[in-house]
Amino acid sequence: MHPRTPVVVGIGLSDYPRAPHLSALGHVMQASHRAAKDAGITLSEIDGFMSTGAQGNLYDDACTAAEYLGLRPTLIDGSMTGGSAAECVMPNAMEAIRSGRCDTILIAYGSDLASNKALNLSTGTLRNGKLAGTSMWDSLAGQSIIANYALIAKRHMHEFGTSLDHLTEVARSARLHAARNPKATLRDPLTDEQVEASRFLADPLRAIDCCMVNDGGGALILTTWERARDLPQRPVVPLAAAMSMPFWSIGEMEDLTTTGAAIAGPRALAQAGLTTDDIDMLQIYDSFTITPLVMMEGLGFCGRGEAGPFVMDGKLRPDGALPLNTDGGGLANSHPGMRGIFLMIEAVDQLRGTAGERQIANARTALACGSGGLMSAIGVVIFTNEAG
Amino acid sequence: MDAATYFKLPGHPVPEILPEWAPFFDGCRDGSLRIETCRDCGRTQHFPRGQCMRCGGAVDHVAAAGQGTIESVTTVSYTKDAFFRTVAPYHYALIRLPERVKMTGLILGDAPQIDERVVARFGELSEGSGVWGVVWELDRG
Ligand SMILES: [Zn+2]
Repeated sequence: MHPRTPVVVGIGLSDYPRAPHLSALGHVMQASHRAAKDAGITLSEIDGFMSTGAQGNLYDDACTAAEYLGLRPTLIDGSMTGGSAAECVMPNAMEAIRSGRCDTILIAYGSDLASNKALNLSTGTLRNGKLAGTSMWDSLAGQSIIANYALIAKRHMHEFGTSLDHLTEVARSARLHAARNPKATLRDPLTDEQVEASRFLADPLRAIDCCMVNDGGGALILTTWERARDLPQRPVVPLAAAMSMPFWSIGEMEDLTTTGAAIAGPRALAQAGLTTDDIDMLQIYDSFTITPLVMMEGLGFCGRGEAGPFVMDGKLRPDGALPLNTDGGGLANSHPGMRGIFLMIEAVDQLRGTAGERQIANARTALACGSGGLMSAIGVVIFTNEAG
Repeated sequence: MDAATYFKLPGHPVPEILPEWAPFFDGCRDGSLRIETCRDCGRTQHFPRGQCMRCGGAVDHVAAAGQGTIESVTTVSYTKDAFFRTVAPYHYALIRLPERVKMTGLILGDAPQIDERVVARFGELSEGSGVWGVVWELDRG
């Protein structure tokens, strides 16, 4: 291993699912200190900081957060690609460590989404009582986040015959993972009665197809292989990272069932020198049940349009061949607005072998795929615990 | 509900209109759907940018046919928005125009299906707002 190979040495979660005592910045701070403690360092070692909040840079942009933490970074990256932000900065973070521009990078996120009633992700941004931003074009037509994802799900069903049963399997699988996670929110199995009773919010998406809304934050610390040798945790190496953003608004999505996962996935796999067969587990942003299905197709785990039947053998479940979202995901564990950082934290916890009841045995590789916007900005990171 | 009824509903949200966006809304007032068309490369784009996003050329605001085809559509039963809550359940769609652009739109009428044709209808977004907009009706004639 090259002495400047990037290594994840610390991870931390802030209090969740309800934390009325914490602001978004409070979550960033608590998670960051927990990650530093986990890594056996203090935040004074941090010289690179990557963070973005979900509040439109009001209280939780990267500069505000860096100052809040008392950092003096020589590299700052606040790229707001939505829920994939943590994955999308990873290529930059890894390159900065390899090149020597930074020695220790903190990636952090926090949100008081559930407790802060002023925040509304539903219907676009208001400024002076008017719909503002380019999302206004869709807000005038009655958009919501759910409705936009519903357009993708509906088209996927129309073109490929994907069914509600296929979507339900993703939700069922998430609950089974959550059952093994003492900290998860929805730990009971989804019953047939609950599936039957779940009403459409925007068809074909039902309440059971939608992620939770809660408070929470997460942080992850990267440093060099050389430095990591003196630190307490088993090193987990990000082998490769790539991102792709072919569009941002739904109206610019050339094909409703094709995403940047088809670009970022193969790039990351090629960089890592791996194929999809080499991946032991998936952490894919499950904003809605349709999201991991479309992502798996783009990443190449199955053919285009095949994800529905592909998952019906239970492969995504805890004992399946390709476990998905082993902490219960956004559907059953935690979804504080933007879930990207949590995908990587769970991958690292699993590859350290410290995931407790939910540990997947003998896992050597994990792929994290963040999806930001409306499956718009996709970030893919591949991790291994094999120090070759 | 038809378009005339829709535009009589009170409390429709109105947009902040950037300089590049004004010709579109002026077009709605005139009953035409204006799509930016590049004078240099001939390509079309929506939403409007005021300049061609591919070549940087100047754009004309060309009246479209005002018709489209549904690429995907969902019936929205749940929304937090105060206005759209009064309209729900309503149909939110991605519409493909023959002018080679796509736009999202609210479709009035019963159970619109993918690949069905729709036509644009224009009106003031609630009386007195001073902003004219577009909704879509099914073209089942
Ligand atoms: Zn042009």
